[in-house]
Amino acid sequence: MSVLTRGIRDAAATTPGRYRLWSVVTAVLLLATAVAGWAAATALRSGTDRIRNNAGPVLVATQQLVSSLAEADAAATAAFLSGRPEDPESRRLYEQALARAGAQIEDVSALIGNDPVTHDSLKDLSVAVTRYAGLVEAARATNQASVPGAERYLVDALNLLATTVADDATRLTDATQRRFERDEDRRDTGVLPAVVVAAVALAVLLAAQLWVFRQSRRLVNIPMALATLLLVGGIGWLVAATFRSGTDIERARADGYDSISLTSRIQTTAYRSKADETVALITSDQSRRTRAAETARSVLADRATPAVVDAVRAGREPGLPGLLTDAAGVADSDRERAAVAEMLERWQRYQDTSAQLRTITDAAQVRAVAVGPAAATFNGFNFSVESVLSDNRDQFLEGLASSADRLGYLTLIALLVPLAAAVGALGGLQLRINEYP
Amino acid sequence: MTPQPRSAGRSGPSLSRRRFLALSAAALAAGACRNSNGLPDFSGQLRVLNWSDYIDPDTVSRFEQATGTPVDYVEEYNGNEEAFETLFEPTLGRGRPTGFDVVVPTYWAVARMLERGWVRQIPLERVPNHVNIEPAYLGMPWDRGARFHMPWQVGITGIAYNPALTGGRQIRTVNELFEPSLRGKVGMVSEMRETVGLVMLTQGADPSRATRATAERALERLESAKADGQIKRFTADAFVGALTTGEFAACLAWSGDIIQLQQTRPDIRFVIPAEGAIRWFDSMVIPARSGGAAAAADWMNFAYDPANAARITAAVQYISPVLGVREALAAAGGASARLAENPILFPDDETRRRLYFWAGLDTATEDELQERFSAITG
Repeated sequence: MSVLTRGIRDAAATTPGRYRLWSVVTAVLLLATAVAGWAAATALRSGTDRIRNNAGPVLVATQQLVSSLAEADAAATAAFLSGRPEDPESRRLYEQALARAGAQIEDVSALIGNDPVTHDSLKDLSVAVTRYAGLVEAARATNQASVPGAERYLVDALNLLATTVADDATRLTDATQRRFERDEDRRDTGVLPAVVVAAVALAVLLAAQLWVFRQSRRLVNIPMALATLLLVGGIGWLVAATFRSGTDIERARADGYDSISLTSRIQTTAYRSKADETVALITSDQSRRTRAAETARSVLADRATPAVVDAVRAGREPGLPGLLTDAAGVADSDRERAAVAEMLERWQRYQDTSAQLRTITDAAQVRAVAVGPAAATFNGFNFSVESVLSDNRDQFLEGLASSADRLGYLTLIALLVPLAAAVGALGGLQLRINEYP
Repeated sequence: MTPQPRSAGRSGPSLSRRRFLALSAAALAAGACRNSNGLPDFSGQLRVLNWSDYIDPDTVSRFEQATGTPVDYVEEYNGNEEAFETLFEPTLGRGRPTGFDVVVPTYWAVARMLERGWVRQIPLERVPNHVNIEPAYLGMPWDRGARFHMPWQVGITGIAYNPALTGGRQIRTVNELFEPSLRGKVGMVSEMRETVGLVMLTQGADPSRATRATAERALERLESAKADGQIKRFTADAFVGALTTGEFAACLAWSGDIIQLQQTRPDIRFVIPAEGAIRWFDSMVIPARSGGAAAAADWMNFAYDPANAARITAAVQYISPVLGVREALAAAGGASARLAENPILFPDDETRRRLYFWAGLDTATEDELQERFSAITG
C-alpha cells in the first residue's frame, strides 16, 4: 500500500480529515481549471488577434492589390493610347496605382510571417508584376519613339496581367483564405477542455457542499456558495465570450469578407473585359472583342436600366443575372444597396462608351474616345467598386476588432475566477474544520 | 442668370475672423444637447459654411422649398489656414461639433481633416446623385471613391493679362512673367500650392509629383523674383482689381474670377500656360459630430442634380465637377448655352492633359513650405 493511499485512508478516518480531503480535491481541481482556462483564453485571444492583425488584413490587402493592378493597367493603356505627348494624368494614375500595388505586396509580405506556401504565391506574383511593369515601360518607350511594334509589348502586358498575375493573385487569395480558416478553427480548440475541467471542478464543489450540508445540517456555506457562483459565472463568461467573438468573426466574414471577395471578382472580371476590349482595339482581333462582350455579360447580363437601378436601391429583385446583381443580393443595408446601384450606373456608362467605340471607324477618333470617355467611365466604375470594397473592408476589420474586444479581460478572468473560487471553497471548508477541537 | 461679383472660393473680408470665433462659440453651445449616439441633436436647420459669392443666389431657397429643411447659409469661409486655426482646431480638435453640417474646404485641407478623423462618411443612401461625380474626382488618394467628400467647384490657376499693358504682346507661359519687360507689373496668387506648382512647371518639375526639393527650388525662384521687384505682390482674389486698375499687367489668376471679369472687361485674357496649369477644387464635407448628416446629404444630393449644378456654374463660372452640367447649360439656352462652349469651363482633352493637381506632401513638409512661402509673400 502506498504512502499516499495510506495517508488518504488515515485522513478519511476522521470528520476533520474528510473535510481536509475535500479541501485538497477541490483546490486541485480549481487550480487545474485556472490553468486550463488561462491556456484556453490565451489561445483564444492570440488566435483572434492573429486573425485581426494578420489573416484579415492579408485578405484585404490581397484584394486591394488586385484592384490596384486593374487600375494601373487601365491607366497604362490610356497613357499608351494617348500617343505623343503622353497624357500625364493617365501616366500619373498608372505610377500611383503601381506604387500602391508595390506597397501592398510589401504589406502582405510583412503580414504573412513564415508561411512558405503564401510566400511562394507572393513571390510569383511579385515577379509577374515586375515583368508586367517592364513590358509597360517597353511599350511606352517604343510608343514615344514611334518605333513599330510598341503595341505588341502592351498586348503582352495586358495578357500577363489578365492571366498570370490574376492567377497568382487568386492563388495568394486562396492561400490566405486557408490561413484565415485555419486560424479561425484553431482559435477555440482549448475552450472545450477548459470547460470540461471547470465542469468537473463545479461538480466536485457542489458535491462538497452537499456533503458539508449533511455533516453540519446548515443549508448554506456562504464562502462555498460564493465560490460556486464565481465558477459558474467564469464558465459562463468563457463560453459566452467564445461564442460571441466567434459570431463576430462569422458576421465579419459574411458581411465583410464575402462581399470583399464578390466585389473583387466584379473588379477582376470587369477588368478582363476591358483588357480584351483594348487588345481588340489595338490589334483588330475580333475574337478578343467577342470575348470582351461575353465577359461583360457575366458582370451584368443586360443593360442597367433605371428600373434595374431603382430595384437594387429599393432592395427588390432586379431580375437580371450578373455579378453586380449578386452584389445587390448580399447587400444588407441601404448604404450598401446605394453603393451597388452606383456601380450599376457607372458600369452602364462604361458599356455605353465601349459600344460607341465599336461603331467608330476613324482610328484617331477611336483613340480619342478610348483615352477620353472610355477611360474616364471605366475609372469611374473602378472607383465606385473600390468605394464598396473600402466599405466592406471597414465592416470586416471592425467585425474582427469587435471580436478581439470581447476577449478583453478574458485571460485575467479565466485565471483569477477559479483561484478566487478556490480561496472561497477552502475558506468555507476551513470554517467547518475550525468547529472541531 | 447673372454672374455674381466673385471672390469665389478663395478669400474674403478679414473682419470675419471675429465672426468666425463667435460662430465657433455658437458651435460649442450647439454641442450641449446630444442624442443617443453622442451626436448633437439636429436643430431642424441645416447649417452650411461656404466661401463668399460661391453659389447661385436662388439655390438655398430652392433647396428649402424642395426639402422643407430651412438653411442657415453662412458665407464666412475665408481661407483654409484660418478655418483650421479658428474653427476646426478649437472644435473638432477637442472632440466638439463645429456647429455646421456642411463645410467646403479646399481639397488638400479636406485630406488633412480626413487624416485627423474630422469628417463624417457621406450617407450614400440619401445621395443618389453621388453617381454624377466626375470620375476624375473619385480617385483622390486620400478618399478613393469619394466616400467622405463631394467636390463643390473646380478651378484652374493660370495666367490673366491685360494686352494693353503688355504692349499687345500675348503671354503664353509662366516663364514670361519673369521677363524684365514685365518687372514690377506681375502678380502671383497667395495660395502656396498654386504659385509654387506653376513655378515648378517652369523648372520642368511636375507638381503632381512634388517633392520638398522641387518645391524649394521653385520657392528660391519666387524669393529672388520678389526681392528684385519682378513680382509686385501676392494676392488672393484682389488680382481682379489690380488687373482692372492696371496695377498688374499680368498675373496668376483663378479661372472663374477672370471669366466673370470678362463680362465687363472682355479685353482681359485668361490662358492655360504652355507649361501647364494647376487644377484645384473645394469640396463639401460633413464635419465630425455634426447632428445633421441626413440634411447635409440632402443638400449634397440637391447640389449634384445637373440642373441645379448648372445654375451654380452659371452664377460662379467655375468648372463643375457634376456630370451632365454641360448638357443642362446647353438646354437652358441664352448666356448659359454660351457657357457650355467655354473652353475654360469645359476644357478639351488636350487642355486637360496640361492640368495638374498639387500632390500632397506630408503635413509637416507642407507646413514648412507654407511658412517659407508666407515669408516671401509678406
